[in-house]
Amino acid sequence: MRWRILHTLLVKELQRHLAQRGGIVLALMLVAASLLMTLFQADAASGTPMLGAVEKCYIDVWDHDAWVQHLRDHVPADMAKRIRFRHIRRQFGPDATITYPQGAGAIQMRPAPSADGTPRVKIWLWHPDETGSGLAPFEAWFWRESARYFQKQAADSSATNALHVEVERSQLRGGVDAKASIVSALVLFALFLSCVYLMPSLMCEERERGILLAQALSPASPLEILGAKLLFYPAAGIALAATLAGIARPAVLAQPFFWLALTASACGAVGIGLTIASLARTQRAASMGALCYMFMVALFLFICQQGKIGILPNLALEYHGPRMLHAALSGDVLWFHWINLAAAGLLAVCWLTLATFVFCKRGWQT
Amino acid sequence: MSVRLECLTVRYGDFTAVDGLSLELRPGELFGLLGPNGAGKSTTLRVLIGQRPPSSGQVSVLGHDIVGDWSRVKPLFGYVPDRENHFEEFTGRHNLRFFAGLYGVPDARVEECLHLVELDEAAGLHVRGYSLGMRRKLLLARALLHRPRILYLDEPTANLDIHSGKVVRRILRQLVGEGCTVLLTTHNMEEVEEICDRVAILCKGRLVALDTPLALRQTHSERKVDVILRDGSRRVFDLEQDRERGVLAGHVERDAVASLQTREFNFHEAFLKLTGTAFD
Repeated sequence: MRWRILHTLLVKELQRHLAQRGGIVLALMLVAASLLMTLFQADAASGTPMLGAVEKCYIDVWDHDAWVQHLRDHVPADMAKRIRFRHIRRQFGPDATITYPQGAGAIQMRPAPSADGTPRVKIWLWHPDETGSGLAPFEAWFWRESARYFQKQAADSSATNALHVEVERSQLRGGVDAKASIVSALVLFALFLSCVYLMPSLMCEERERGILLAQALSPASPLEILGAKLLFYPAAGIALAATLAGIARPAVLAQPFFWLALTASACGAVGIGLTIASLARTQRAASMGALCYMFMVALFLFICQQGKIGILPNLALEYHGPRMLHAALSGDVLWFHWINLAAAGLLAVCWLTLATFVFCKRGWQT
Repeated sequence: MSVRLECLTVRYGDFTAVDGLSLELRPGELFGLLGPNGAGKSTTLRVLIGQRPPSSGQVSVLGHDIVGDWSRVKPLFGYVPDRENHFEEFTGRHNLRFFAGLYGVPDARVEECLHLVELDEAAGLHVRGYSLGMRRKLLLARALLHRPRILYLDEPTANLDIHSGKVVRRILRQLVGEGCTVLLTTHNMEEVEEICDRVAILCKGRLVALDTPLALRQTHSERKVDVILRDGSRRVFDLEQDRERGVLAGHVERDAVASLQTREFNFHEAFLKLTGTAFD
């Protein structure tokens, strides 16, 4: 790669956007949205819960006694796949904390210390939302079955030892933060705008109008022409995304995880963009391809969510991207977010490999 | 030889677009490639600019094989396509400066080329405001930026007004005078006769004639004379026939001829005779 040619091609990309201005206007609108959100939500730095839906409820127990067995035996059929019993001691992480995945709630049945020998138990309810409404159906079942168990116990024996039940409610950290969610969406939109929409669209426009051929007949090699595009658009996308995130949460710019997440997402987006650019012959086809891709992914994730298909969404870059960015923006990066990052990196490699294959197969000039 | 095509064959599936074409373009020659639609002119040009590999045969440019030595061939030629391909949102000057950046030529050369094609006054305007003729002249300016030794032109004077057409022809002759080899495809017969040193006529991918325009004129001119006699009757005399020559001489001697006109060389008819296809 020769720097003189690469520089000329990069400047050309920038000047085309300065001359056309459509992409710049859209980028400025995103910046304005981020600024407005920061201005109007300045006091909501800790985040406001948005959706508190609980997909899975963990019943974490210390002792597997008859009460627990009764609960196990009386899980309603419609909740069978959503309730999971676990022995709590096996769930502690190295820092003596339990980490629940996103969209999960928990009912912990802990033995509580007693000074007078009276059996005590602490029921600690953990919910992702502020009000606990997401956990309510599970909680209702838990209390209903517990009451049935103790009523049965009381009827069967004359034991008078009362069980003292202490109840505590807590909100899980790392829930969905509205501001972080919106900024994550803006950040991802910036990456997709640059790499999945603008890059294929302008590349196909140059191909359709024969400008790509004119450049190919100049001393610029295909690698340099392609390299300039693969440098410009991800760089522009990352710069815009970092600006948006920096306006909303300046501290995020100091987080290595944020930059890693951004880079993985941008690489994946470039792979998707280049695949679309290689498959589409015209600018119109490229624009439609980008929009169709986004629609298909949204539909795919929606169907997986509705169908409670847990594995398949992992195959979509768009599944990991929001989780990583949200975690970085809300300052709650947990161990499983690193798994999201690794998965996103792997998917980015897959997309780039596919893009290279399609590009080599389909050519790029006509 | 500047460009050598040896038994060039190009196939698109079962269709043979160019069938065993052999040509040699000499240095400092303006070569015209003629043929009806589908004759194989564009395919030949596509091979020469590296956009289509030959199915068989060999093509070399200044001694470099076009397939095996493409990186050496690429800087040697300039190409003026049949459809304009500029950055519409840039000015004419900006378009040339971008390509000058790729070729590594100074801005002074950009101004030189703009002046050469008489676009220096319009160079600051956006290309989207250019007429078709201006766009074509800008294409020529772009192709000349790096002073190529070979120039390929696809219909270079299409959509040009008379003056612009003359400018382009003058530039082409000037380039040939400087030693540049020019290969052009055109539909303009007058242009072929006016500026081409040699002409090749293609039909259905095959070479059907190759000679200078003058030799083609001599070979294919009709030696006939249109005569209007004083009694108002019209006659055509074939000078190839001894008897008709004698009859014409008799009319002239008797001063019976009111008007006499030799038939001019008609490239269209010659083309029709050679290819069996009307030129369009």
